[in-house]
Amino acid sequence: MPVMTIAEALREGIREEMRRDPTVFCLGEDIGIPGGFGGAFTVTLGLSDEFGHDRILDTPISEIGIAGVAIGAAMTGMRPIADVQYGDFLFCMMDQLANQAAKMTYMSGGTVKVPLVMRAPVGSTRRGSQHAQSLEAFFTHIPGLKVLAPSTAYDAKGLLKSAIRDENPVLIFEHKLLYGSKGGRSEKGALTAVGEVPDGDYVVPIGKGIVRRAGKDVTIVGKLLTVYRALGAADELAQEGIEAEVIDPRTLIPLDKEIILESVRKTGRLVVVEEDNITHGWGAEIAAMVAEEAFFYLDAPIKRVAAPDTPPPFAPPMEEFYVPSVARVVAAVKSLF
Amino acid sequence: MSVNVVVPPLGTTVDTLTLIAWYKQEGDFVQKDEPLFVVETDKATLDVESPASGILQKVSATAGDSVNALSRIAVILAEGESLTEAKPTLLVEKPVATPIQAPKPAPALEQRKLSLPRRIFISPRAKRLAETSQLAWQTIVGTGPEGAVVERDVRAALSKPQSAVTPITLTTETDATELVALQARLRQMGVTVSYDDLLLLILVRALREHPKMNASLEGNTVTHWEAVHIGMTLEVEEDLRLVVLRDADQKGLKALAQETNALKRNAEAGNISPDQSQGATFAITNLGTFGIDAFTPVIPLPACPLLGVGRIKQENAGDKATQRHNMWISLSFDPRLVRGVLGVRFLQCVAEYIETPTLALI
Repeated sequence: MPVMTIAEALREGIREEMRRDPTVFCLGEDIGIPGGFGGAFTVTLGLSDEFGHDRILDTPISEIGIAGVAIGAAMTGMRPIADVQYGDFLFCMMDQLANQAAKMTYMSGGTVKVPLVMRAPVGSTRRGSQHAQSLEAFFTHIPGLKVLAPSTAYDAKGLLKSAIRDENPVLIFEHKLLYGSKGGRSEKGALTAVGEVPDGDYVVPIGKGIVRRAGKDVTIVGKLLTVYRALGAADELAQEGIEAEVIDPRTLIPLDKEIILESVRKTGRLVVVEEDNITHGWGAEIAAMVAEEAFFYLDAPIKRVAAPDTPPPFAPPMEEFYVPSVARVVAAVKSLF
Repeated sequence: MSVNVVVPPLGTTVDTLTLIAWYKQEGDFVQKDEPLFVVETDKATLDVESPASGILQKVSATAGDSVNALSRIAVILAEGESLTEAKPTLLVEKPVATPIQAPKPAPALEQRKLSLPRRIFISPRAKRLAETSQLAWQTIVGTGPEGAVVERDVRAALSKPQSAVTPITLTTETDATELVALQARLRQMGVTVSYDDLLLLILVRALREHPKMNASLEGNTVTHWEAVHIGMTLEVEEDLRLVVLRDADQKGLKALAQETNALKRNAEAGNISPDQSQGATFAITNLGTFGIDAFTPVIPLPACPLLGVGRIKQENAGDKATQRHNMWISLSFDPRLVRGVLGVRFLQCVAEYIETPTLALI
């Protein structure tokens, strides 16, 4: 089976879907220009050679325009994949996404569908406050959007295909340190998140989480990069006799609550690890859900490991302090015993 | 009037403790029962409450100091009272009640007494487990985050035998002269009964007067029984086992004698059915037949009160007129099951019946 990076797996997924369905097309900044990188992180590299510039559509630097075009195209029968260079720029599209895309199906009584996909890179990678945020939680709060967060190459391709075929607007968040982008677009400190990806068509269903590591003593829920931090912590904890179960929900909306609840019912302890700021975050939602639905199974307080409530800092030592590390996850877990 | 602030005696083993911190400083006003300082033993860290309301003065120990149990480390003065007019006694009066030398109290209980006024935290998971297991989690010392009782603490407590609670044993010497005489008289009349049978009858009469003694404890559940099933300790296959005589209160002396004889024969033959070895609501152990004068009966599980009977000893042998017989009896019970004062009254009642056994025949 071929081994791919997440960027390569996404590219294969887009390629297969564009071959399968002529209504699928990509739009974004610098995604297909000759001599370019194929978007900021090489995901669309080379696709314009096969599909041409009509279907790999380079746009002006106008995020509100990209969103508007994508939503309009989706409402009129196309299946656009919009590329957001940095997730931070989603804020420029907020009215389009929150007020138009998310609400159109509800407001039209289900007669209008908005089958758009928007891909956005997130995560702190030494790019300072405006190119490093993790924005997932903002969009999980908007009814009408589906929100995905693939952390492996297999899931990236499989979830992307599910997203393209979904009738609702779907946001896919991708972590810059997990892309495995090469050459001039390789990221410092990136993980080699390569994995086996089957040739040809397969989907990963939206709304199904996965147990990345089984354990009986504590449940650690992470997403994107923090799945790997959780797995690193689980390795360290195992040496001290603590068996951590690591859960990757893969889909944030709709959330696979049961996989988390089932794990917590077993372990009695929960740590949620996220790269976003802690207050009103995704971890808070997971913690509240577990407190409501599995309270009597808890043997310790629920812990969140997250970024402090400041913008992501630019200075590398500060960023290292800011982003949840394996050591912080280990410490949080140990405080529950 | 000044009140001494004294380091509490933490159980029977700890003499020296570490003062971790004061919650108040010299000159501060403190309320009675408000946490005043923290001490640490090798087992636990405990808040100690203020013995009185007033101003904290004469603080003689600081954080990190080793302090002796029962030593004074400060005084509390009433507002307006000055140090010179207050004459705190230099040494603390030794408390009258030194801890009873109970046989190895479980550490959990020892700490529990001291941490009683503190709020106990228990995880929802641990509480659920404790409640479904009918375990009194309030007596468990937590080892989890912030000292909370967590699942492993409950599991540890559940795996411990219930004897973690020290049973109470009361012992008294009775005059068994009339009991001996009664047995002899009955024999003359052709009724063969053993002392065991007479004691069973006495026990049933005493239980009728004190029905709350007819009870058992399982987990943390006390059950008062209407039916009276008396467990008797008999030798079965070179072991002492509890054999249960059912509905003893429904039977007269003759029936009791017949049934105890049958149970004894079965026991000798090693032929005791499971039904005959469980369900006791009260138990009796007679080691007098083994020549034992007095002993501490061991409470069977599930725990019910247990009467121990020693040997009948003859005194003033030879002189018929002044010849007496004495017998030691002991009552053991779990303090959670029976209040001490009830145990005392019950034992007195049994003793009275032994001393005037004809009353039991009425």
